[in-house]
Amino acid sequence: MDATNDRILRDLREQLSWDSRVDASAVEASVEYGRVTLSGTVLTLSAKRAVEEDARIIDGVDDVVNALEVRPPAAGIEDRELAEVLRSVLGSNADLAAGPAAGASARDSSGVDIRVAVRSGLATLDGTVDVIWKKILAEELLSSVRGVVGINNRLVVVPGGDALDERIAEEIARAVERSSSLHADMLDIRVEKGFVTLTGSVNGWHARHDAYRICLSTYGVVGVDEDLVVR
Amino acid sequence: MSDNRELSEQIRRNVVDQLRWDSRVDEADVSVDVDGRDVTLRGQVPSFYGRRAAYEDARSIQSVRSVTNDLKVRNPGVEQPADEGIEKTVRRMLAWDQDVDERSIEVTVRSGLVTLSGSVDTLWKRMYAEEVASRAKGLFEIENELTVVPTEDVGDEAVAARIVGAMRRSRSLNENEINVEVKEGLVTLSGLVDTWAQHDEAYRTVLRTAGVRAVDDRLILR
Repeated sequence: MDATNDRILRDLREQLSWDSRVDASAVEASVEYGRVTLSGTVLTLSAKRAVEEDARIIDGVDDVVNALEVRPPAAGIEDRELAEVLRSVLGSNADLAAGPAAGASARDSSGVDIRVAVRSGLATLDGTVDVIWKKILAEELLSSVRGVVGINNRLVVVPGGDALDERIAEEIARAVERSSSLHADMLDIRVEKGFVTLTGSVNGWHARHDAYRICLSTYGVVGVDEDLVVR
Repeated sequence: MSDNRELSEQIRRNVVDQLRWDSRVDEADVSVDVDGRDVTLRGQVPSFYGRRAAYEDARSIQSVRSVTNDLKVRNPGVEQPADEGIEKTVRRMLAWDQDVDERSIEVTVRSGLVTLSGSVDTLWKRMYAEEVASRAKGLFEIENELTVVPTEDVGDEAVAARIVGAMRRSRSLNENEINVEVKEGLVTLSGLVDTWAQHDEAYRTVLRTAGVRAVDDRLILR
């Protein structure tokens, strides 16, 4: 067991020094029974996420606890100014801001109403989106903005029309059947008030991600709890 | 022969269903053609994000061997801003991003066509700058002329070793089935992968390796 932990730790160190996206000189890591704990500091939120991705990719890693602290270089931007920038980033995004009805308020037509508040670089998102991938996208867009140290994503998904649970479950099941990486009979899909619970097993680590992505792209889904076993 | 045609038709139906299902894609103006197991997407979608999603949808379908993405990005609902407006938006998006050094990137806009030029130090930054720019509302055409100039010359052998090392550490890639050749910073990937996800991971691995200038992707799905 110790030998495995040592190997994981060695692989992780190599992985971090290989990855040109991150300066991992102040990252510390420990491994216990396949669980990696990351601590120390990085300069940006995107680096924090990249380090976690690097850890998860390594063979033998079951779980990652990401306790990295984001500490941007000095002369940071003021919270009020940063909040303005974040609103502007969301407002100029083609998928979040563009309502098809020209002239009408983009918010009314797209079902997107996002409020941004910033405190000591931590951005909190409140409001509503009409589909769950927009919730994820908003977070993704803001996490690469200079000065953001963390994101508290409290966006609520409110689908526009009637989205029945049975219909959602059926849509997900059909997408799974069409997919080349998933097997429908290995998955159990439950939907309650738009909230999806995925259980069962998948072949390989990537397939798990594919199953999750399918839920995120399905209209009517308001949340996903994925508890799949990777075979 | 008729089996072939049946398979093509089944793929086509599945791709159409997939695009209709995916809430990220407005498929109203998309047409799907299938020749054998090769899919071509034509027509238009409202955003680059939707364009990419449509491509991934088509690729994810059973039996699909390749996808040619000829989709254009157009949105009749959004008035295209004047060139100066687009340029200002793109510059701001690049400047605000913490992973892009916008001082080394030039943005020019002519009749709605955005061109990025200048240089960056890694290949992932070249792709990433394009992605950041292409998120802008009202941007429909983008040309990426950024060149990659690595900060240090480590030599082709070291670059190849870095790539193979990263593949070895990965839980999903088999470094023995993927060939990596490096010549003056140009990486050629060949060999077999089992899934598109493996393909994407191998490709991303190359992008993130310092010293890589460009990549020629010849991986084949098993």
